Amino acid sequence: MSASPKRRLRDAEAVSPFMVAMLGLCLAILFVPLVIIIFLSFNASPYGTLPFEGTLKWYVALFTTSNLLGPTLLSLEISALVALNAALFGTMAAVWLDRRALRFGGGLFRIGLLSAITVPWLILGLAMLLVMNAIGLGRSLVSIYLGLLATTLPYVVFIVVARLQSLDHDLDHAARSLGASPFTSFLRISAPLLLPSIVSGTLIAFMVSFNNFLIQYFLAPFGVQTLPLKIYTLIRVGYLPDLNALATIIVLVTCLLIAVLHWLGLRNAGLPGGATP
Amino acid sequence: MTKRRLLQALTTPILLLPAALVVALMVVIPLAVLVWYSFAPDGPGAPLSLGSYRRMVASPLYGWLALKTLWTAGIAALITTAIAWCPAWALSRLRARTRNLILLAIVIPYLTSYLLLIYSIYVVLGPGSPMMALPRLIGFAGTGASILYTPAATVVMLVYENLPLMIFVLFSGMQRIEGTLLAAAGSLGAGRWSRIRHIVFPMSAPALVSGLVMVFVPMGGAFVESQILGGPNGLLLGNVIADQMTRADDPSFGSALSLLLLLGTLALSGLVSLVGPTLEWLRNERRTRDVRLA
Amino acid sequence: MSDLADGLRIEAVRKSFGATEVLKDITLHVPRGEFHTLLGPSGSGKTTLLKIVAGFTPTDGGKVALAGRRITDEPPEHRNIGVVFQHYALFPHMTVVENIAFGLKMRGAPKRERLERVAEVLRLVRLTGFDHRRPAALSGGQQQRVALARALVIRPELLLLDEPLSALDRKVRQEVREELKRIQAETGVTTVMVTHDQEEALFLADRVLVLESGSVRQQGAPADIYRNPVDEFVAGFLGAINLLKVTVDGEFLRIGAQRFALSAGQIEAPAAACRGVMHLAVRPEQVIVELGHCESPAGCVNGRLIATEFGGPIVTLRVDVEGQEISVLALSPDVLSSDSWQPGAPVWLRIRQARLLAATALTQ
Repeated sequence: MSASPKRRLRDAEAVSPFMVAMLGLCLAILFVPLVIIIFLSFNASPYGTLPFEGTLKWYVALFTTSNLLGPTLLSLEISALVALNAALFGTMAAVWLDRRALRFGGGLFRIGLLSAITVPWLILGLAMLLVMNAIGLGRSLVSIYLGLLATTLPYVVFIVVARLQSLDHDLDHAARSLGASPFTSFLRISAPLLLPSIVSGTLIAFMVSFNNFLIQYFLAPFGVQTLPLKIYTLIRVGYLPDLNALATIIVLVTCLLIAVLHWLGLRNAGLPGGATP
Repeated sequence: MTKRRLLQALTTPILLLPAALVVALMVVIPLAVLVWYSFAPDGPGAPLSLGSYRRMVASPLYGWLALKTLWTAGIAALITTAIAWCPAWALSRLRARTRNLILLAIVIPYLTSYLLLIYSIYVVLGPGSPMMALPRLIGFAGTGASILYTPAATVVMLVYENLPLMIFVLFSGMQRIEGTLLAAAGSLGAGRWSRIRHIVFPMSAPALVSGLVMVFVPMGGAFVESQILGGPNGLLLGNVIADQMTRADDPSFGSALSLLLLLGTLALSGLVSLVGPTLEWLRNERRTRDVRLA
Repeated sequence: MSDLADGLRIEAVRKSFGATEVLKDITLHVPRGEFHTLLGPSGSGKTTLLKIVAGFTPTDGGKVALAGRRITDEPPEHRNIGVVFQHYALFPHMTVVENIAFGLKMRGAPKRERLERVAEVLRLVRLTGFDHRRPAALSGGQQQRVALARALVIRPELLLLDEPLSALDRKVRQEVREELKRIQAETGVTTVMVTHDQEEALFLADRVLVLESGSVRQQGAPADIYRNPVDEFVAGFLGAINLLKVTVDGEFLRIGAQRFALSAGQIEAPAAACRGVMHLAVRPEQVIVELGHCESPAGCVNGRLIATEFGGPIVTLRVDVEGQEISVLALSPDVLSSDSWQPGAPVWLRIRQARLLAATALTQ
């Protein structure tokens, strides 16, 4: 074999066309349904049938006659509140984990957080409902808020803790030796460096709580509809063209948020497989 | 204790308090209550008994339902793995720029509300949709037919939902396999498929197992998917649990079923996780035996 | 007895991490304005001692005082000590000026004063004009000078340096070393440097303390401890050393069949018992080697050349003397001018200065 080592490495590294084809197929599987929806959102037929007739009427309907806007706004409000609170409490907890935690307490807290995202939300949501009923809150906006907060805190905590642990502790020491109190050191040195992670965590918390259908399903009072709940009732009716328009808008906003996350420097948008808790 | 240490001791709990309270109230206590209720068929005040569990065992329906659910989730998990494996490997060998772009693209369906995903699969699988045109042309399906409202649709949905996650987990495991290892194998005479069989697959096996577990557990708890897409034969344990807890208003029975589901999925996941270490142990036993004989 | 306002005093400080005793009863005194170095291998406890003085780690016992003031229980922000970290720890999100001014800001200095003092210290470290750069845009040597400036601008009572040169390239190290010496002389700040590099320590310090396994093995001026190491560890740590097994025989030292007089060179012996088998610690540069055979009895030793190793300005000669190998440094011109320096050639040695040390079990 006379191939140079560099060439051999390149050959070995190169993927077979078969693999690349499989990648293409997989991406097709992932995106074709979404593309079809986007495509149909511009289609005039109210039943989703061909032939294709381009129109923007569904987008107009979305903002005028459809009753999707109300639930969307409610979802936005709740998710924003939950995300901001998750950012605050999650960052505080992350600082505790990094600097002040005793090994036992820290481990326990981590397990609690992991449970919030690994236990199927069907079971967790139902269990939450039981407890909310028992303490008198029952189905209510407060319950939704608490439930969503509990399931988004883990994301913020794990992202911020990972960043905290990668920060050089000497930076804090340097600030202290120059006369900064522990609080001032955190405020002026650690916090600015944590900001991208905190913002990323907040954005992810926002998206996760916006989309968390199951928790909302079990904890929402009858009559209150967030967007996922509204979509749920609509789906059981069947095809809905202005839903296509809404879906397209949501997918676009998701793309934008992902771009922002990437710009903030979060690898794989901070998801499992990339960032490990 | 100096004033400084005192201040530090006071502020420490404040940092943790809000998050810990929320987690305790909405995660720890509910799970504990779930366990408790499952032993309290006559209401919270009454003495504990195994009534709910007996009821569960009395009818073969629930056991069968549990098996069906685990089976569905298992198939879906395996299909997801099969579909995601090659793409993950291809991704791990691509150049950084292309790779990151594709990864970001994959995040889009991951972060999209799964109801919207369900809706899009619903549209895609519907009889009028362009997707079904192809199988109809081949003669695979008659006009108006589709796999919508069958258990197969549930499986399709579960696979679709979890594909991104599986790709990420497999990718992160495969990324660690350095190209130099493959080059070394190549120089020793291993062809492409040999390299995959002897190097890539064994080294990425832990990631594969952890991916399987990560998707299997939530799949076991599926209920919206089966409710919307599964049709009359697609009922899963998740549906029954939701029913019992909300409409039938028998929290004890529902709790017992929930624990059954949870323990079932965890047990199966645990077994799968043990496959790797067990095989390794067997291989070591064989090696030492061979050495002794030699 | 002690002048209260005089630099750093450490008394009976000890520290353990779990079951490991990292510092065992350390006592030392750094007079104001002097430059002391804590020299030791990794694990000797020198970094822990630095952290205790800076206030980042509490001590298990003992006292630390600076300029007459007890600082043992003070938090770092109240100690008025400037610290330069091994990897500089410059604040990445701040410019050079902001980094340096940070300490002044913490002390409440008004803006104009801050700018003046920052400019002054930038002149001192020769980085004027780098004001608005970020740390990421600076070279290692420049970052180091910014770190130094940041520590000095607050006019600290004490300057602590943690392995300041270890992260730098060799060439840069020379330059920065000289800068450091100049700056310390100019400002007159009491300085303690921690390092494992003996060359740095010997060059920079007024006084060197050799630390090993938590205790101070020896302290003194660089030249003194280099010439007169108290034991084999210190001898070996401060530079290359030959340890020859010799037997004391009255006024003579015997190596194998040969012997030479204690008075033939400056051979210092410890006051304590000097008999039996001992080790003669000889620096390679303290041996004079000549071709041929030595006639003078008990004044020189005969041996055989094993090899010559060229090293630029100097040549290392390895000589066999009664079965033991001794390294000798010679200047290149002296060796290279003749072809007779071949393996196997007979040579004779004269020892200029050496020290007798008790033989320990560690050496063969």
